[in-house]
Amino acid sequence: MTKRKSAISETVPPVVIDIREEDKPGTADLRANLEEISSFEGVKGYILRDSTSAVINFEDTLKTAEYAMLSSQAFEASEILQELFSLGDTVKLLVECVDINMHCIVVGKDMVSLFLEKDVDLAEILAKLVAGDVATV
Amino acid sequence: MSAEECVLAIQSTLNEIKNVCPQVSNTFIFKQDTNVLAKDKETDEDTITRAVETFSALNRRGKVAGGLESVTFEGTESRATVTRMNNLYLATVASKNADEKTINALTRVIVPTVIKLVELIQPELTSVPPEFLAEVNGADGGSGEIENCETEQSTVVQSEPAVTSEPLLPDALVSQLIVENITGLSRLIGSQDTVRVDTAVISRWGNLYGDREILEVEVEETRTGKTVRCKVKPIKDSQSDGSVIQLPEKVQSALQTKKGALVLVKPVIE
Repeated sequence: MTKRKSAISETVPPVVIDIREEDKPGTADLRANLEEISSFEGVKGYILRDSTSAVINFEDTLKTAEYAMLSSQAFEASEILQELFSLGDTVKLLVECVDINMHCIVVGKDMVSLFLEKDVDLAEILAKLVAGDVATV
Repeated sequence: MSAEECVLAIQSTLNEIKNVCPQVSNTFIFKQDTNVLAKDKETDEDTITRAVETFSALNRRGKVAGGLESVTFEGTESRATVTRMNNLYLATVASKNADEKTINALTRVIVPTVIKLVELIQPELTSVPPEFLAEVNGADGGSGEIENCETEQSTVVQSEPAVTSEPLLPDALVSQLIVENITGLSRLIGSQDTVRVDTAVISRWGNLYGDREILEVEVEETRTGKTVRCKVKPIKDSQSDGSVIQLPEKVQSALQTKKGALVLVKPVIE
């Protein structure tokens, strides 16, 4: 177990990403982009879900169920907090854990949960995710 | 400085955050055991209780990745952040227009500094009852739990893992499947305790566990967290791609789920 001496945790720098409605990728594009992203260094896996189904892909299959439950719980928590504090519609969630970071992004009707090692370049991955092209962000 | 005075100092700090940055609407601090240490004057206790319960549920799931350090929920109007400070969690809600640098300076520098000072003066104020830690550690064997340094450094005698005569089996293969209603004859004559999954899924489990027959499964609803254990049979004349599970009404009701929802299904190996 990692010992933490500091009271102040390091934070992930915010990545601003603005997707125009017409530029939002469809589920098939997202899936293809995620498939490519999953081979990037530091990407542990992803979950892509819409209202009826989910695609799950993890490097470590033993943790698949637990990661799926973490993602599901995060979206559930966002719904409750959204109502409690009038946050508005959920745009994204960031769950920083000791070992990994989970980034959840709502793209149109799809919800993507990305499980990344802590030192991964998020901007590059998000650019690839929404546009399939690193140069656009 | 008494404990009450320390709490008052923390509360004043939280209220000052709102003065410095009016876009901050709510701030409160709670302990690992979910007790609220301090809150700003506007946020009501019911709201905090629900928020803390919600965070605790997420925190439990976060153990898979070593425990939560911080969580940010970003909506179209506002952003809620919960940041860990040793044994405590600081929750902040601010509108999207709020200056992120100012908020970070307040919540990640000023508040932790005040907390550190309070910990020096009144260490018991931020500590978590040992019964709570024992309870949490007992629940998951102590692995991956968020603990403070003192707890990590304390002497914890870990028992040797029990040696069993059972052969080593791979971890149960968990499948995420979509709920369907049971249709046709199965609905009329089938047992209300038996779920049906695609033959392909059952044979995949069969391959994984050798010649062991899979008679039961554990089904967990991903949203409600409800779990049931029931008998399993293959779907007759299945034309699905192996992504569905047919649940009788009784099981759907126990799981608080319905057609189209997602469930995690794991074979029971005994």
